[in-house]
Amino acid sequence: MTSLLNPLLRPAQQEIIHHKSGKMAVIATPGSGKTFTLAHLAAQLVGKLSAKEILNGTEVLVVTFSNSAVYSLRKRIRHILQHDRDLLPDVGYRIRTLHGLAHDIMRDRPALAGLSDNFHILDEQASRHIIRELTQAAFRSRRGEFDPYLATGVRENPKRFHNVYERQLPELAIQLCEQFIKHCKDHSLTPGDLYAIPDLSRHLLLHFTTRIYDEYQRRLKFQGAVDFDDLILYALFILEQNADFLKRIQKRWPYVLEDEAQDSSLLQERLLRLLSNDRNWTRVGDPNQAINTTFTTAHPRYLRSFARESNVSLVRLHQSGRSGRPIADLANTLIKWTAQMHPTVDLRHTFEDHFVQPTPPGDPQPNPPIGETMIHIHYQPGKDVSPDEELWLVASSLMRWLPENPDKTAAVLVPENRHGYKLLEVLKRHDIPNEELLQTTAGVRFIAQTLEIVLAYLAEPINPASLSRVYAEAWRKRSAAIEQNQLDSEESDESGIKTVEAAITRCKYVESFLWPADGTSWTDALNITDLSPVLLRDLQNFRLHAQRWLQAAYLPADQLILLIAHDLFGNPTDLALSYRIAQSVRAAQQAAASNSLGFAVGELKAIRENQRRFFRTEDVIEGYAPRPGVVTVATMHAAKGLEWDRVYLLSVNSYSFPSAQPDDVYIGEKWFVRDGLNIEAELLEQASALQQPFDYIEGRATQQARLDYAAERLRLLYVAITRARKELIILWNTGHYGHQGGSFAARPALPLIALSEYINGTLSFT
Amino acid sequence: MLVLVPPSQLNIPYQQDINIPPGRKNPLIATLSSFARRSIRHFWPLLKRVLPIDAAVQEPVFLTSDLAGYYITRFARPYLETGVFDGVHLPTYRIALQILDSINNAALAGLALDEAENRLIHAWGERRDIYHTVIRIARSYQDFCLKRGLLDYALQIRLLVENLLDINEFQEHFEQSYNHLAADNVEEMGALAHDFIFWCMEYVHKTIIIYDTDGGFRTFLGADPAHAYLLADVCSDRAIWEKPTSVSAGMLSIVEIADVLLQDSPADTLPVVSGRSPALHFISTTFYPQMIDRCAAEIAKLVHQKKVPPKRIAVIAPYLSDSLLFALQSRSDSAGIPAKSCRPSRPLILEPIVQAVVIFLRLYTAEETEARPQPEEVSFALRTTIEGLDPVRAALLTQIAYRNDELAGLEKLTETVQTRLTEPICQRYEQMFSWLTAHRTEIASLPPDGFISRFAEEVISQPGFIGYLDVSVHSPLNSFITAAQSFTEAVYNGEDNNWAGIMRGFVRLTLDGLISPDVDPEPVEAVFIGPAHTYLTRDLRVDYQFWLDVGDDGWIERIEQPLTHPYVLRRGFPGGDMWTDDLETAAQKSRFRSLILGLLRRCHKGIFAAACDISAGGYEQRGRLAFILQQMFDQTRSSTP
Repeated sequence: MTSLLNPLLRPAQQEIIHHKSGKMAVIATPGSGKTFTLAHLAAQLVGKLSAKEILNGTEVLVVTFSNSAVYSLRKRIRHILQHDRDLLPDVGYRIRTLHGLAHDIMRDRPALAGLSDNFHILDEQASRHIIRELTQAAFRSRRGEFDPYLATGVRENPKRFHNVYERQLPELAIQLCEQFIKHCKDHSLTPGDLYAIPDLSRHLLLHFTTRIYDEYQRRLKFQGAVDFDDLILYALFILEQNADFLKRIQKRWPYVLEDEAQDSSLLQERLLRLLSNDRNWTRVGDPNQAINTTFTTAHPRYLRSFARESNVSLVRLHQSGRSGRPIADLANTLIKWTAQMHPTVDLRHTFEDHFVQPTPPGDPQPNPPIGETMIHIHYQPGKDVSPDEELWLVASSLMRWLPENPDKTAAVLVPENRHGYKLLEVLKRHDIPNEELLQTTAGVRFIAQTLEIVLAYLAEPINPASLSRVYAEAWRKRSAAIEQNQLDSEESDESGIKTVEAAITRCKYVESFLWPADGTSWTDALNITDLSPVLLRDLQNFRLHAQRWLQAAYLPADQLILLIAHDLFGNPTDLALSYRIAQSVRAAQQAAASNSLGFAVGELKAIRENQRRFFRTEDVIEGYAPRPGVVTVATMHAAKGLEWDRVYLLSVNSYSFPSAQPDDVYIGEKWFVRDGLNIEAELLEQASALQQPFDYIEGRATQQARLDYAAERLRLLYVAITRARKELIILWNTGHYGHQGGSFAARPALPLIALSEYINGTLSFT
Repeated sequence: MLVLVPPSQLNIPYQQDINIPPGRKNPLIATLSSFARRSIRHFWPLLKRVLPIDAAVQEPVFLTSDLAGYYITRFARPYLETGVFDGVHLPTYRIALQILDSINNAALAGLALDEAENRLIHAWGERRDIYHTVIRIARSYQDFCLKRGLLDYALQIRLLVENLLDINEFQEHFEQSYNHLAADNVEEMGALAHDFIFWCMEYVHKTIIIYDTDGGFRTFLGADPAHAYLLADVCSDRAIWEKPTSVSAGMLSIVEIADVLLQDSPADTLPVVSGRSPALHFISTTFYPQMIDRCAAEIAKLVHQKKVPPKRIAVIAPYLSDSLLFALQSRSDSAGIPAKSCRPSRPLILEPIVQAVVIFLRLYTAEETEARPQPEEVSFALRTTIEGLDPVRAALLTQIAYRNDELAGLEKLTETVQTRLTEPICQRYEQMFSWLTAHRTEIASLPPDGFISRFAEEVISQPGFIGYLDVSVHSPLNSFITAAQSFTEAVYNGEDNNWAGIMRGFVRLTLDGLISPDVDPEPVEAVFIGPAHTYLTRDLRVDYQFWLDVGDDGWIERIEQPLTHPYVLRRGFPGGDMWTDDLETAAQKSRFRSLILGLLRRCHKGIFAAACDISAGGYEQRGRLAFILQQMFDQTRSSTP
């Protein structure tokens, strides 16, 4: 009964927790405590389960969007169960992403989907590998199928033409195939369904991508594997086809709670509707924060229409104590401006009229005082800001602000990962403490690079320069706990280390250093004298490790990586990361049917170069918590669910936040494709049109894609603004090609101008 | 006396412990199939008279499971093109192996293939075409094999029970040979074995039948414990051993609690246990590698501080992946503790020496369309076979001597390179190269096993090569030669001598991982590392068990295959019934219960249950076993004085 009297819960939150049974939609503004409330609701429901039910496997099911959300929810629910309710912290509930949930269902009865119990799941990297390989092979012989889509000017410049044909078009083809396969799976379309389309071969691109899809599925089958999208599809299939299995699963999860429901996809809705059996299904989300809809079937319309269903109780959480009043007003202004004044009328329905309200006096989460709140929009009509200037502005601002605010948190939010990497370089140059929430992190890159250096040597063991690199860049930078003190004590002997490094590079015959012949000594091979006893010992130790790694080089890449990682990395997080990297490399090897070390080196390089997605393992476990004095660099997407005292928003320009205006440039439209077509959107439209009773009209999908993208970016801006508690600074830049001027230069985003006018008092609503 | 045991290492205690007084005849310790092979060989002419076997077949050839897989793949492949298996997401060889499982399970239950087809179709309620095709393939395969005297496991046991037992000469021979029958672990045998036991009882003076309650760990391989328990009804005397004497009080209390918790409808209150020391220890970590480290550290403590012999410790996981095995083994190695993995079906190609020999064979047998070994592989093969050749010199040697997919002799190596390689290495390489050059043509003139054994004897086992001092390579090499011999016997048609083609087929099969050692490795003085069902089917007992990854759902799930069904193909399953989800749940629960109780009853002093929050695959762990263990842990802890 603790929750009934919980003073931390507002009346609307209490109402949610007291909800007895049936369907409920919770529409919540940013910072209104939706996840907090959901955690309390989950704990309340767990408390209702009897010990016998728990022993029989009955659970409250919570489905959320990302892995990090899984762990932060878990942390909250554990805490409530343990401290507020005196219950076992880890039983009676299950928190899953959609993929995790589908995996659980599939693991229960794989044979129902025609799979063995040891089926394996291809991760995103491995799946991309296969698609890439198949597309490249097909492209070589069938590139002519793309010709009708090329812009006329492309052929006129031979150098350009070559570049398009050799690099850009193949990459586009790969991207098309990836999206197409995903789209088909989202819509439960098999290659067979597509082949059944009359005259498929007349639609060249559709035919091309269908064949890749078919070959891809055959490859998966050959490997006894499924990809992430198959998991969901098959889970749905076995539940829909097997009534008694469905009944058991429904009994196992009598309560279904869904967080971030605004990002729910078509399949997710179908799956959860089936599981909940129209009984106890609570969906929590904010349609105004739907930021994962581009080229997916995810759409806030599902949550909206659910909320309108007759037997659904609707609760709105308006009050939010997160931001100071002016910042909340700015976010509300974005909604109002879009609805009333956006120059593109079709975008005026982007947001729901659902405004952030301040918390009432005495609320456990009061809004920061207005006096402590500040908004600055760095925009002066007619004055351009280059990307470098923008980065410098942020760095210099932080250099001033951080020492004055040692107990406050700050973040710089960027629209894309690549902006973040550039910013990190600048922050590093100016010694500004930072941590990142980007696609890959410095930790991952360091580990991947270290392993890459070692494996590159093992692939070419007679190369002294390569061995020297292992010594200098892997061995000397190792963090294995045992060695750390020793490393510290040697810091001063930099010249000794350089001497060793140079001596190994000079060593003509590597074998005489690593395995000297009888009667010779390894020190002779390096021809160095005057080495300190400590360095000499360390060098001997290095030799022994290098020997060990060479002898193990025949092992499968994952095992070899683990062995090396154990010798080089000390802390559990690094080891866990190494473990994940090892698995990823192995999966890629299996997908490409290659066991060579050279291939593994290539994979590690791709990870280091940010082409692969790896999360910070520690954040996955505990949920990311910003630290005072350390600047967080994150994408606006990754910042969802987080908050900082001060937030900088970068690159709020017409390229990152287009407004569906005639002169806007879109990331999905390639210069070498004719008529500004978004070829990806056109392809998917073709696939849908041929399946359904409507005609395909070229260009319509491109136009719709522009609108969808612009709407999503408006919501992204809304999410980014509402991350700030007290101080918000918004900047823009002229973009990568800004220096070329004219139509190449990005302009300030229209919403940025509108918000700036609002701050200056020149914007008024009817 | 005939001692009948299920197929596994359960015969070892009999072989080791039976002391026969001088002058008395040794008992025959056999499995149903080994007894069948012995009898079929003996009565082959009689069988030929009654069965559709080609007159030209002089001797039966007993197919190993690898070879049976090889043949059935040939029969399955044409059907794959037709798309009938499109709803099954399995690679070709797995489809073939599952058809073989259906054949074996039907044989073990004594079911005709028609009946098996009928049952599979009704049990799944769909996939009629698929199961019809499965049985069609099975029939063509069996007809082909029988005609040529190629007898796989199913044919061996069928010929014994369905044909030989009815032949007078065989009956007389049996009566004269055996007075007594002892059948142990009958719950791990199929119904056909039980039929055989019933039959034997007519002919022997005395029979003793032994079984474990809560057994049936080989169910997925056709064991039928429910049918086995019927044998008790025909016995005149019964004896029950309930509690083992060497088990600690702590372990007994855990078994008691687990027994209640794992019942179909667990009681609301658990049994009160008091005054007993807890024998259940929890190891809880965040990440998977941490869990391995902590377990390795606890094992080291047991061995080094508490002086527990390594062989009294077992590390058990629901599945034993290569990376888990490697991680465990390398930590044991660095702690100086011997550890031995036990995975019954580990392919021979994973053994370095076999891998090396296969690389050499590929050098000389690869067809134009096939990939030749990469330099990386040749370098590995050279250093695996030549004693004292380090990886750097092996890479150097390969770089110079392996050009255009051919090895070259020493004359191609400059004096500097020869000096770098050292004289002894150059001599050894030249010796090997000369042998390969001189004998490469024999690949076409000798059967594969003949060529491989000559290479093993005349090169690998000679001074200067790995097999001369390192005897551990002999066992995998011998298994490889035996496999080559069986393969040759099975595929050689007695007419043309296309040995090179046969060698190519054998190499391909080995590379596909379809060749496994024919015998399980002998138990050694080391920590056991293996999957739970291997531990149980071998009926091992230790002082301490480490249960890895108790949060993994793999502990609960049964082995489920889309093309076969060990439960539906049991004799007692009502033909024509559907396999419902309720039956599946009941089967899962019962398997889980017997697995956990089986493990607990085979542990004398303590269980270390290790869990990590995030699995190796990055998933959060929520398995039911973890919850049950937590309950057991709380119960035993609260009852400790």
